[in-house]
Amino acid sequence: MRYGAVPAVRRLSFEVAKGEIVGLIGPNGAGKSSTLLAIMGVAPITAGDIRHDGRSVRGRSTEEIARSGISLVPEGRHIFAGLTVEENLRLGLAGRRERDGIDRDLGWVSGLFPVVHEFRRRSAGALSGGQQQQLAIARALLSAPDLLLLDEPSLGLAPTVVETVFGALAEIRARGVTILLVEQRAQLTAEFADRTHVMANAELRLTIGPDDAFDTERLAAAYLS
Amino acid sequence: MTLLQQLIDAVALGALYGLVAVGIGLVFGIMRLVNFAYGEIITAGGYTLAYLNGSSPVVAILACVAACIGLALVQERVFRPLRGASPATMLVATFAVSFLLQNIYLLAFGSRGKPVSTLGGLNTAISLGTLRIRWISIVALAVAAALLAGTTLLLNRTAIGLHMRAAAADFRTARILGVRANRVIASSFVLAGFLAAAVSVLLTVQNPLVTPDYGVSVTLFALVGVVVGGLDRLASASLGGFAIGFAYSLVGARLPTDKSQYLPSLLYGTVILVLLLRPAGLFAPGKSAVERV
Repeated sequence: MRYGAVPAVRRLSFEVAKGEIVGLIGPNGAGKSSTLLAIMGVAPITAGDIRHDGRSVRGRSTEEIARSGISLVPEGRHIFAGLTVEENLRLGLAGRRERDGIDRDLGWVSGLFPVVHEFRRRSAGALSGGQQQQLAIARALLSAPDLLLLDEPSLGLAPTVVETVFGALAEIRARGVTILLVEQRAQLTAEFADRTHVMANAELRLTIGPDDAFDTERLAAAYLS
Repeated sequence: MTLLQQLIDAVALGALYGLVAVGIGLVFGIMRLVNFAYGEIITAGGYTLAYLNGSSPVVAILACVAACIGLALVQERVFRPLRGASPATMLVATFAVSFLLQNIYLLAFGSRGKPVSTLGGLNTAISLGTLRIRWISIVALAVAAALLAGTTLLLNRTAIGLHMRAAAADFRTARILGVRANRVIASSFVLAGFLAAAVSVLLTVQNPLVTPDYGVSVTLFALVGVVVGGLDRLASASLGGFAIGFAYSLVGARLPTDKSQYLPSLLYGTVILVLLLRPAGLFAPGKSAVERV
C-alpha cells in the first residue's frame, strides 16, 4: 500500500492463527498503523491480499469488515468525546453479527474494565487518557470480534495503566479472541505475544518469540535496518 | 394589541424556519454539505399539494411527504459520492442541483404559479378579545414543536440516532465500529425530506402560490439563521432559524409598507454583524467540546 508515491507497506506477509497474540513493532513510520488501516479497509492496498477466515477483505467497505468480526482499537483511541461513556459502548454494538449475548458481553466488559462501568453516565471526554483507552477497548469488544486489532494501546499511559491494559489483553485472549497488537514498547510486546514481527521502513525485518524479547542487539539491528 | 398579534405570527413563522434550519443542519452535520437545493424539496411538496387540491387533505399530505422524501433520496444519491470532497465542490454541486430543479419546475409547471387550497381553512382566525389568532399560527407552532421534539428523541434515544451523532462527530471511527455510512447518510436525507414536507404543508397555507423558486427564499433565510445560530449544533441552528423567521415576520410587520424593501438588507446586515462579532454563531458555546448533531 502507498500514500501518494510513497510506499507505506511493502511485501509484508504474515499470518495470525486463531487464538494467537501476534505483536507488530517497529520505529515510527515503519508502516504498522498503515497495516492495521489496510486490514480495516480504511486505506486501500495496491497489491496482494488480506484474508480473514479464508475470505479476502479486499474491495469490502470498512463497515463490512467491521461487521465480519474484525475490530480495531485505533491509535489515539478516537472515543466520541461529546457522547456519554454508555453511548460510546452502545456504538460498539454496531459491528455485532448477532444480537444475542449482548448482556453477557456487557457484563464481561464491565468486569474487565470496572472504571468504564463506574463512569458510564459521564461524558466520555471527561475521562482520563487511561480510562479512555479502556473505554476504546471495551467498545471494540462489544462487537464480539474474532480478531482484535490494537494500535498502540499503551501510548501515553502511566505504567500502572499499561499493566491494567495488558492484563485485560491476556483475559481477552483467554476468551478466544485473536489479537494483533501494534506497539512501540518492543520488549513488553515481544515478551507478551506468541510471536512478534519487527517492521522498519515499510518492510518486515525480523520475527521473534518471547524468549528473544531481551535480545536487544537483534532488535536494534532490525529497527535500524 | 397589534404587537401581541404580530408576535404570535412571528413565533409561528420562526417555528417554520426553525424546521428548515434543522433539515439543513442534519445533512450538514453528517456530510459537511450545505444543501442549497433543500428548498427545491419544499417546492416539490408544494406542487404535489397544488395538484391534489380536490382530494382529501390526508391523501394530499401523504403524497406531499412521499414526494419530499423521494426527492430527498434522489438528492442523496447525487451528493453521496461527494462525501469528503472540498466544501467548494459540494457547494457548487448543490447550486447546480438547485438550478436544475428550478428549471425543471419552470418547464413542467410554468412560471405563473399553482395555488394550493388544501388546508386553506386554517387561515380563519379565532378571536380572543381584540386578539385574532389564525389557526395556522397555532398549528404551525404545534407541528414544529412536535417535530423538533421528535427529531431530538430520534437522535438521542434510537440506535440509528446514535449512529448519526457518531458519524457527525467522527465519520471514519464510526465506520470502523461498523456504522453503515450509506444508511446514516440516507437516514439524514429522509429525515430532512420529512421535515421539508411539513414545511411545504404549513407554508402553502400562509403563502399558497407555488412558483418554481418557491423554496429558494425560505432556504436562503433559514441558512442565514443557521449561520447566525452556528452550523455545528442542531439545537442552536434551529434556534437561529427560528430567530431569523421571527425577526423577518416581526420587522416586516412593524416596518411601514413603503419601507418594506429594506427588510432583507436589515436582516443580512444583522448577519454580517453576527459573523464579525461571533463567527461561531450567536448561540454557539465557547470553546467546549462540540457535538454536531
